[in-house]
Amino acid sequence: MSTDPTAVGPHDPVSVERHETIGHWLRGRAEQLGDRPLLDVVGKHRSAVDTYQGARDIAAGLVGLGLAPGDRVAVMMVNSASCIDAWLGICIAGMIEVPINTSQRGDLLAYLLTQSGTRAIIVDVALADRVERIAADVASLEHVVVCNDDSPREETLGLDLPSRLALHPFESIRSDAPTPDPGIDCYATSTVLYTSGTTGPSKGVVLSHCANIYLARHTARLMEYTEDDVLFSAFPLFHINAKYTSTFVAIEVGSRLVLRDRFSASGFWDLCREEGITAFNYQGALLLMLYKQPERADDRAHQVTKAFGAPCPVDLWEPFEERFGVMLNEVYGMTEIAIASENPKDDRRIGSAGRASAQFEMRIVDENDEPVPPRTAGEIVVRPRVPGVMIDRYFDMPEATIEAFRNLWFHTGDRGYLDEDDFLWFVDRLKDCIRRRGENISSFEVEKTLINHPAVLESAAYGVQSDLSEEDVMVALVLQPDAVLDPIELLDWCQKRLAHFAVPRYVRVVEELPKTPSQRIQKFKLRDEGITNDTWDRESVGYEVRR
Amino acid sequence: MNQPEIIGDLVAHRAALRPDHELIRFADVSLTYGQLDDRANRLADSLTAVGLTRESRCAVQLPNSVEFIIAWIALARLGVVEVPLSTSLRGDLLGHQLTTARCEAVITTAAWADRFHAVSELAPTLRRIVCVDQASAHDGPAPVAGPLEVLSFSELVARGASTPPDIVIRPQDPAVILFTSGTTGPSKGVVRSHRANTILSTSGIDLMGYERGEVLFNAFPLFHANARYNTVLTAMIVDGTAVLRDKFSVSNFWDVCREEAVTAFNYMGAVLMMLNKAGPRDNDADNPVRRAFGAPAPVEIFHEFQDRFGVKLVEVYGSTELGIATLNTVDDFRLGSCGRAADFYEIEIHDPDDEQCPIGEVGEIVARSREPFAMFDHYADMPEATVEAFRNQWFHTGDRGRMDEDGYVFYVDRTKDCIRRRGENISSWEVERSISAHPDVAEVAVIGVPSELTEEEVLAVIVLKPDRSLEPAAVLDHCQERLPGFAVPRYVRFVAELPKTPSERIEKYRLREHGLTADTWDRTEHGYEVAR
Repeated sequence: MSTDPTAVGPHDPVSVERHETIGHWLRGRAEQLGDRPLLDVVGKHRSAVDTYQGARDIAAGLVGLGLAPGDRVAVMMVNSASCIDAWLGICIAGMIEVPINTSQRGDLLAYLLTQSGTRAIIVDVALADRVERIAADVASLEHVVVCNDDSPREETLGLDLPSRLALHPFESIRSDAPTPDPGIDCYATSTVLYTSGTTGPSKGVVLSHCANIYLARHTARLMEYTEDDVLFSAFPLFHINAKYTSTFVAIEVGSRLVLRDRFSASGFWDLCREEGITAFNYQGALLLMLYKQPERADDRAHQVTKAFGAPCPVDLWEPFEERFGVMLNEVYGMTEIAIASENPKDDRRIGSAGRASAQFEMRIVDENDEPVPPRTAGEIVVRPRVPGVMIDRYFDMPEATIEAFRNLWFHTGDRGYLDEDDFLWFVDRLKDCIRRRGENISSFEVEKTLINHPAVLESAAYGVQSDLSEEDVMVALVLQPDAVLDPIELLDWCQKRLAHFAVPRYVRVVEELPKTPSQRIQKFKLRDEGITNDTWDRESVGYEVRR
Repeated sequence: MNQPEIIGDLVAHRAALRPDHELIRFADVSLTYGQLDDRANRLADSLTAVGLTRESRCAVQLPNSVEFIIAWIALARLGVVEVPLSTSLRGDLLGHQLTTARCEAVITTAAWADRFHAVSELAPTLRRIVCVDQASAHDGPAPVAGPLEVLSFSELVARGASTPPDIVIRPQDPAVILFTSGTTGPSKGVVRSHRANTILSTSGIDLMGYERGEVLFNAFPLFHANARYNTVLTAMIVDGTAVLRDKFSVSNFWDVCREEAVTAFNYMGAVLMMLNKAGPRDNDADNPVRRAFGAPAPVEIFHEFQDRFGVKLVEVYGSTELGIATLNTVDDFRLGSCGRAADFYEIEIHDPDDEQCPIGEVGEIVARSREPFAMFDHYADMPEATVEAFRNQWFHTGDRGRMDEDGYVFYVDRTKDCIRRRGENISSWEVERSISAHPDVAEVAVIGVPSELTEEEVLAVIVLKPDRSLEPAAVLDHCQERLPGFAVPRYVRFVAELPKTPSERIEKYRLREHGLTADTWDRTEHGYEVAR
């Protein structure tokens, strides 16, 4: 019960009021923060007022297209001020944003748009051909809005779309018509964010306005950000990190945000010095990439004092902090659960992911869902203490939702243990997915693609240790009788069908796959064998995957 | 207790130690552990031979009888999910439950076989009927032939091998699907694991302070959780005896208790009221009963009843989904409340946003278990309804209540649109759907009105089509063909129109306020009988 003394986390909980939809909150922040510079989005400078106005005009434009609250609108854009207008405009209109990874293409892109029942997509001109190719397969799609920041009001492309689809330049839909009240509260859905499936197709994580604003407030409180902070991120706006732990934090706190569309390890500290950056977000291999840069005398000559993210390799943690003079605030989270545990600066344990956040309960359980004793590894399960702060459900997948929430705990698919003081130590993933440079890649989806290749009889995709951190994608294949395989041809074939990050690095051909008596592939055996002598490595031949 | 956690293993364990002990006693027949163990094994063997395997589903529609208990244990040992059906179920509703639970077979009496033949098209998964031809309680006619294969229960028992099935059942495996009334939709099948059932039993034992050898009386039907897990399974766990009846008889209740040396019984409100109404007798307090278990005991007779009969009443709050969620123990008790959260449950009162209500304020009772597989798993074949019930990682009971500053929960009423009559939840939606099917009916609203016995009675408020007329008795005749007996309305009222909101939703609260008007027809006054 809530009177339980353990309900008080390392920091007092933040909260979101019922009336605080993203639209309501943005307008309030714009009134508060006014015209001073707030967001630097790849060189475009926007105040809170600009941000609200830009989004509001898009909201009015979407309503003008005949879209209604609750309709799904996809956004497939690289980081840009237009991307932020699109995202927040959808929120203000009470519609539901479906952020699409800009690497998506082919069947999977069609699947994401179909599964979400997307009625309209806003896409960068550079990516529009991907939508063109699959538009006929997405029955729910009615509008394609193309954003061309270089030539904003021109119909620059002759996209070949089925006649039922309407094509609009992004700038042409902006409207100063009043936006009707969408009639929603903070528990309404703001986004369906797809996360890689493990034994099945990708699942859409349903998050509410409340969950988004909560995550921003939670991050701001944890990091003790103030108006004087200058934040940096180069993560994409189609993940929760850049959306709610950078952009929303800047709007909530009034701290300036420098948002870029790519990360440069060599230029990073110079950028920090130029922009007066005080804090940045990390993920995946970012810390290691910085650490691998040659040491310089001015490694500590900057204003950055703190960084937020996960996971930091344990043996890198203190050397990194020492060398750059930056405190790392390591958390544990994912799209479904936001930040479920954290290491606040005055109560942290190096190498751990901290203790359960206020408003979250965390347990480690065995395969029968029984809690295990301290220092025994098991699956990490999480649940909220208050409504609206984590995933509501998987979109239109009630069975998968029930499975993930069995015994009323969200099953993360990650393995870890708690120590005697309830600090979480991450061990590995139980789920059959591959983690490469911050992206979760579904083995299932890679395998589903490979199995359609004419030379392939059976396939297993799995992660092997990367020299950067996290994993690279490896596949083991059994060929059709008498078939021969050219790995380069196979990768070319994959590139047409998979996101660039899911294209395998390592290819291995085997006589047969190790299997259980019930014919399940024993991937742990393949992982143990790792990169064998007969494994082909695309880097050894200099094969380049285009983005 | 160092004994098996799974019911099938527990019976084997007891049968090995005390084969001749009578576990079950009916008025005219009893069942020892040895008999139960042997017959359950034989039946299980024969059911395997006709294709029932782990996780297939088998319905059971039987009166309270030893065959019901044998079927229960046989299915449990096979890992077949048992689907006990209300004995009054027939027609569309029967077809719905068989289909929702994807039942492949049913064990029933010869007298009811035709009910299943009749719905064979509605329930395409159903293949065969196993008929109890000489049920102890119901000697029926020979089973009728029809589209489904008919097998004889006694022949299956006689034919099967007595060796136990070589199947390992885990505590978290699904054991049973128990149907509970829908609210805005059809009935829902509550999937419960073996572990959830055992925990329901043991929490009742802890609460009641039962000791070894207890003799427990129950006259509730074996298709509800109460008789199954708070009497029969309880008796197995405490190594006692379950005294079962097919119906509750007020007139000879205390005599039965004396004859059978009953130490505890299960009640619901109406039972206590009826017992208390009976004229006082000198020997009222001269009975072996120490305790009674149930809900809700009417506050006005609570102390009187305890003093008069020398019985301690223990009040709980629970449901088919939860089992026992809150309890008033003998030592920790607040009159009028359903007690405090059981050790393994968290209980809160939530507002419509799922925020916790302040102390004392009325909201929805929500619950979740601290232990895995201690409550129901999900609703069978209704994932959307399950997700809705589990939002924000709480089970939403659909009951309204409040909590005081010490954590005692006070039940207020149902948020769901269902009617509670003598321990049965009746879905307004299902009754309305049946009455609407009548060719003369334009519209109908079904509500609960207070019963003189506690809980509610069913009232149907009907708008007829223009120029049609209909006798109330004809409405009830129509209902009897389609609904279980307990759901057939007691009261019928004809009106020119139903009160509605601007958005055309029927304002049932207004009908409840009107209550039993002068023009309301009461079947009891007219001597109309509903068949059980």
